[in-house]
Amino acid sequence: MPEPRVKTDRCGMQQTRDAHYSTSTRTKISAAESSERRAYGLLAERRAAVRRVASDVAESRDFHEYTVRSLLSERTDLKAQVGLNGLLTELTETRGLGWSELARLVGVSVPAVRKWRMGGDIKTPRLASLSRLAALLELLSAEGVQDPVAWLSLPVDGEGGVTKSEIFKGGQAADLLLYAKRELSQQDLLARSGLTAAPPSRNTLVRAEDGHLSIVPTAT
Amino acid sequence: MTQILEAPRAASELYLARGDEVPPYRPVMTGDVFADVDIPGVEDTEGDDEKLAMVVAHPCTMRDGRKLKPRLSVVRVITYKVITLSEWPRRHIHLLPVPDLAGSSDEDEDEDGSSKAAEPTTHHAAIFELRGRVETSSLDLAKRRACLTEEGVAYLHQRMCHSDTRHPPLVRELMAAFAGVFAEIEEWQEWNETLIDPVVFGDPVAVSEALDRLAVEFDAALSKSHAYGKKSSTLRDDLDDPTKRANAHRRISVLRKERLQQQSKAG
Repeated sequence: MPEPRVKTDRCGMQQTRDAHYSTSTRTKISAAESSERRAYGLLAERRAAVRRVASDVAESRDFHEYTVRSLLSERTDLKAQVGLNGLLTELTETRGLGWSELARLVGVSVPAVRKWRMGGDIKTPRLASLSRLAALLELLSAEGVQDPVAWLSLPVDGEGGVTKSEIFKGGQAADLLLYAKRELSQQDLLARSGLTAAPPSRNTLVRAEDGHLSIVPTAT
Repeated sequence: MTQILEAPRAASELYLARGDEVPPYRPVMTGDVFADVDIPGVEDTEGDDEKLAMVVAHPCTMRDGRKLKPRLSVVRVITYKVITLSEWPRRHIHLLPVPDLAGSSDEDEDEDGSSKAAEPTTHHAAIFELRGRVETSSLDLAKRRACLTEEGVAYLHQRMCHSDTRHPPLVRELMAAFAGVFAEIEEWQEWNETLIDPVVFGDPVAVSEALDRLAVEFDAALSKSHAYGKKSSTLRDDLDDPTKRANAHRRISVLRKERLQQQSKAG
């Protein structure tokens, strides 16, 4: 469509372009402009629809996250009812945690765990940590994680990176569950943890002639 | 300023057990502190009244199979001035600070059970220069004063390696290299504690013989080959692999229970 020439009158006011086109051309221009206005209107409606859908998805995601957190919380409460001895048995004999690993995950010393085993008292926050650990391992298993204890010990990404057990110790069991369900990305999991990965190691473990592991520079 | 060496967040991170908490049936391990140990070639020094010595031999090479090597490397542990945690990375680089050696885990926790990140109040130090080899028979389990955690042993070897070579390995790498051995020692301790016959208590010779028998059984259990997928493996190999360690712990737990049942029936 050619750009209409704009004429000005003696007062400098622009005259409308209509004055320069034939009737049929003016009709065509009007039709095109109407069509364009309709298209923009449709586009605006669709943008609004997309925004509504995005909002629904975000709400739905928030609701789902809330559901997962509630599930973990309920399972934790159930596990607390199992009692200290039951929890220790479940975590070591059923799940395969070593005593030092268990102490590390729950944030206590090995002698403290030993005292629990001998019938010593456990403080409420520690019982809650044990219950939460048992609940998480059970729910991870339900999600198809074959060996939840091994899964927890491994880094989220790359060697020397933040391990999932560190994220658990940071109080983010629910985020780990969301990650296992693939509802939280690796990036978001790490961002939420606030933990920074150690610089990548330049070394690797190699089994030496005597059958034991040596730490050697990684071949480049 | 560049940090040369790493430091624990709290002194309590170093210790698996101290004083009365030291498990009597835990096999000798790197980082164990024994009293009344003479170290050939190491002169007397101020602060060594108790003749404390720390085993520094590497966890992976301190045994031939299940038996401790006849001699192990140890370093003298002496009383020392207090070294704060902030000093660890760049100062006192020719020793391992051994804070609160006479402390206990009760002092390490707050009322709500959280660990105290308190600075140490008493102090010893393991001096790398005062190093020698001792007969393992001179390491009396009844005089064991402390056992270190994996972290504690890693800090020891990082500092010792830097002192010897000016090149410190990372604590996490050291821990990864000997995690399997620590897992095995823990299971061995559990095996001893569960299966030692109470009739031998009070008789050191009988206890020693009982522990030797249990060591043979435990070693046999860990060395037995089993199928793992298309390959064969042993429980010892599985403990060495972080992806298989939990499964190994479960299987050893089952073996221990079976052995206990056999023992009960025989008794």
